[in-house]
Amino acid sequence: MSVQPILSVTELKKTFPDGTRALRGVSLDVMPGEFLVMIGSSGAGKSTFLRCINHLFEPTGGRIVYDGRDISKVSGAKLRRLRRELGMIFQGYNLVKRLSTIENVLLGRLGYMSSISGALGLYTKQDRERAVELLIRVGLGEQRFKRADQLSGGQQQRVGIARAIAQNARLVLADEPIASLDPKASDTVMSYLHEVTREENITCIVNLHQVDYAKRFADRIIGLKDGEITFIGKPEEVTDKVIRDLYGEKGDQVDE
Amino acid sequence: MSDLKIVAQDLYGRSPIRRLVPLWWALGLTALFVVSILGMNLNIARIIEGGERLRVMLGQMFPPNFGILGRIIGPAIETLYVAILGTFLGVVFSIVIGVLAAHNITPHVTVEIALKGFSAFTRAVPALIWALLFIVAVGLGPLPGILALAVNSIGMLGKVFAESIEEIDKGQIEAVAATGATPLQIISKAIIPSVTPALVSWSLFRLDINIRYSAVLGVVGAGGIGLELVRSTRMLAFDETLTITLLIFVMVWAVEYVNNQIRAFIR
Repeated sequence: MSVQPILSVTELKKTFPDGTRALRGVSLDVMPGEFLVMIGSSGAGKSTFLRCINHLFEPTGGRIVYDGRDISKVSGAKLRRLRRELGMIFQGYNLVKRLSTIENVLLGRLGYMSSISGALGLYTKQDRERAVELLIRVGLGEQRFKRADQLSGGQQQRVGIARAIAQNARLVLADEPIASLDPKASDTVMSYLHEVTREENITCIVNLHQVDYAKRFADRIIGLKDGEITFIGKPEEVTDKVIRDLYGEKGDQVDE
Repeated sequence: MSDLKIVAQDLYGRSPIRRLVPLWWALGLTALFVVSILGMNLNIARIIEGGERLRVMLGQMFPPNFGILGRIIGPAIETLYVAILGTFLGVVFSIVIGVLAAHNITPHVTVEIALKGFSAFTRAVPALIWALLFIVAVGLGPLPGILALAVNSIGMLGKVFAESIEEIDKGQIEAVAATGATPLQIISKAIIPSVTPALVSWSLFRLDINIRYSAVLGVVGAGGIGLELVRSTRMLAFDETLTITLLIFVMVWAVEYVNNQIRAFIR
């Protein structure tokens, strides 16, 4: 018996109110535990794809099945229950800057708490222990009481990873996690993201536009262009031609 | 060289009428000033006469009568309490209004419009008028003063709190929402921490304003030191008037000083 995909997207479409057709029918199966990297130039629809899955954007067409459940249209409490299983990592880190590092990781627990106890920040001792453990794992154990805005960009993104893992997420959506980081910090962040999700057996979809990082970490690479998938394959199948097709003749994103 | 000729004609760049704009302003403002004086039947004789009375009054002010301090310290503290309670109530209601009226998180546009309209109204009606209205409603004493300051504070704080929330980086709200947090959790964990400095600093600024208002509200019978101030002038006890004025000054200054310390601390 074959393994069921954890996420199955069929003909996903998203047209913005201004008429931009960001996704023109994207179909994709993601297997449990997979580390999937989506590449493509800016505006190809990578970010829109991720945001449709956790409904930060409402898709305008198509079907999304997560863990056997149809989540094409969910709202209210159902949406919140879905979101707590889907960790998200953002290009701009999106930490609450005036909260401490550990408080930011604990935000990942809100979806599992009652509205009031979450609002009052009454996290359990186990939640706090887990948060500290996660921070140690991303190399920030010492910084846990520092305010988030005092951390460097790379450190903030590692907190972002810890926050997503703290959700006990089964699927992590990482939207350009290293686009604002220097090469050294990019390396660290990608390594931690890869390592932690491998250890916890968490499925991961990462948007990148650095092809070299995609080749280095991905189990499978998806090429997105103008809202459509134009390439699916193993990292070694990403040839120069594939890259030229994705990014245009110049291939200005290719650092190799 | 016909170009040169054009340059020569164009030394000023504007028509003579536009060039004299400052003069028109000066004439207009002078006219407004004169009309206002004429309209009030002020004349030089009265102004001079007033100056004479002012001199007498100033003479009687010194030395200030500090003997009344024991008697006026009670009302002074009441003034302080009125300001603090009014500000406190105002802040609490303004936070609720700010959250519901901020464009980026309002439950519905109609709520936003209604609440922004409400705070514009409470802002437009001066605190003194609110005090007079509340005196009619609940009687004399500190209570109408507290209510007047609270309502008037909502007008200002509701607006600035909503605006502070509207300025928050949308990513932080999005990220907390993406963890599966409820709206209440998003407010308390993403929005409130982000606006805390603005919240504290505006609330303290408002306390500053409310101390000054509170001193004046006593004049219309809403409790506090204002009543003592009016009483002393009616009795022509100007040495007491000066003492009370000095005490108000010390209060206002002290609150301002403490506020600045707190504001410097919270960043």
